[in-house]
Amino acid sequence: MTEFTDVASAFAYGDSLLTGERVRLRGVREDEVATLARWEMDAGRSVTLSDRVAPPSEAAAKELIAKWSVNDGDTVGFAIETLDEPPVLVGHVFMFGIRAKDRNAALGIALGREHLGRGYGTDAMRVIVGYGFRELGLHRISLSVSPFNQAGIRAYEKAGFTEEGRRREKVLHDGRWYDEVLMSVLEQEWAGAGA
Amino acid sequence: MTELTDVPSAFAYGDSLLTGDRVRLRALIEDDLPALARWEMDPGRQVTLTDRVAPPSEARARERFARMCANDGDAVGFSVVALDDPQPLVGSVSMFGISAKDRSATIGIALAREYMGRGYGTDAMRVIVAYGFRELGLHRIALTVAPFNAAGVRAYEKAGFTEEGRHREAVWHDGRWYDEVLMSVLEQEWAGRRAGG
Repeated sequence: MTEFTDVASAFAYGDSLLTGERVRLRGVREDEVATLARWEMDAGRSVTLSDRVAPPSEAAAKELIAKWSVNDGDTVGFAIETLDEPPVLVGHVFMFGIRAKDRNAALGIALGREHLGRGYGTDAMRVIVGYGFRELGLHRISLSVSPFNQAGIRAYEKAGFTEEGRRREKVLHDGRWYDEVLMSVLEQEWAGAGA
Repeated sequence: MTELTDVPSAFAYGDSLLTGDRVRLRALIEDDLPALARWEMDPGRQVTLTDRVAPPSEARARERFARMCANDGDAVGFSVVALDDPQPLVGSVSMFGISAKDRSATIGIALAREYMGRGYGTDAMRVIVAYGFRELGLHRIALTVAPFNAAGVRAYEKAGFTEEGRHREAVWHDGRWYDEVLMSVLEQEWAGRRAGG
């Protein structure tokens, strides 16, 4: 917890709030929308991101990215870029369903396929979870993940998430049923892990 | 108070109305949008400008400025440029929430980080406040500011604003609550200062 005493300390908080060890989260730029939309249209990738493989049109994908990134309502969404020079766009992360009453949010993260397996997702998760508790004042952050996405589950665990249940035989792919794994992290767990 | 008697006196009023000692307010031009959007997406700067740090997309940031500065309704918004040569864009200022009944407005001002601390904000505030009373016929102009933004509070005081109250523990950042400081300037206070020189 930082206490702001002047403009410099306020700026320093905002400057560090969305920056991790490997990646930084920031507002989506116009020249990134095409790449983010292309990833959204990747059929292979949508097996781990969604319950249904049905790539959207480019126009629909761009609209989704735009809607997830305006950041003036109950959703916040950011581009994920590496801390390299120059930075490389590697994905998008957003929190939605935020209501004042319960202070819950659901989280969705998607990396471009070529950027998986390098720790960017784990770091982005740590940053957005810290942001959710520190700045948005959340109590609980949850997500769902496919049981066959073991790399995802490991990354979420590293960011503090715990499996809290399973929606049994929730998703059908090619004649087989798969569970949906429910994970969450609570305010006090996050604060305890940091302390 | 100027009485307009002919075209030159009318032009002279319009020419001087939006010009201060250090800065000038002018219509937003398309070329301003990339810089304004970039500043709007700066999370550090958002801590002093808004209650929630959540950098918007570039598209939404541009839309906001375009809407804020269209100046075809009750609200007005301008780009702020320094009176140097050339005249760099240093920020933006707007008045919104204006209703004919109460003639009350709220001000929002945002300067680029690299232009803070040079008196541009104070001068821009003086200009927009005078504009509000002289041309828009306002009775009251209000704003809110974070208590840790001491430089902002000082600039608003120099432009005639007085603290009139606080929204107690209205804003949350990083485990702490902060008040929101309410400031305003009334028509008669501004006229009194102006008469007093």
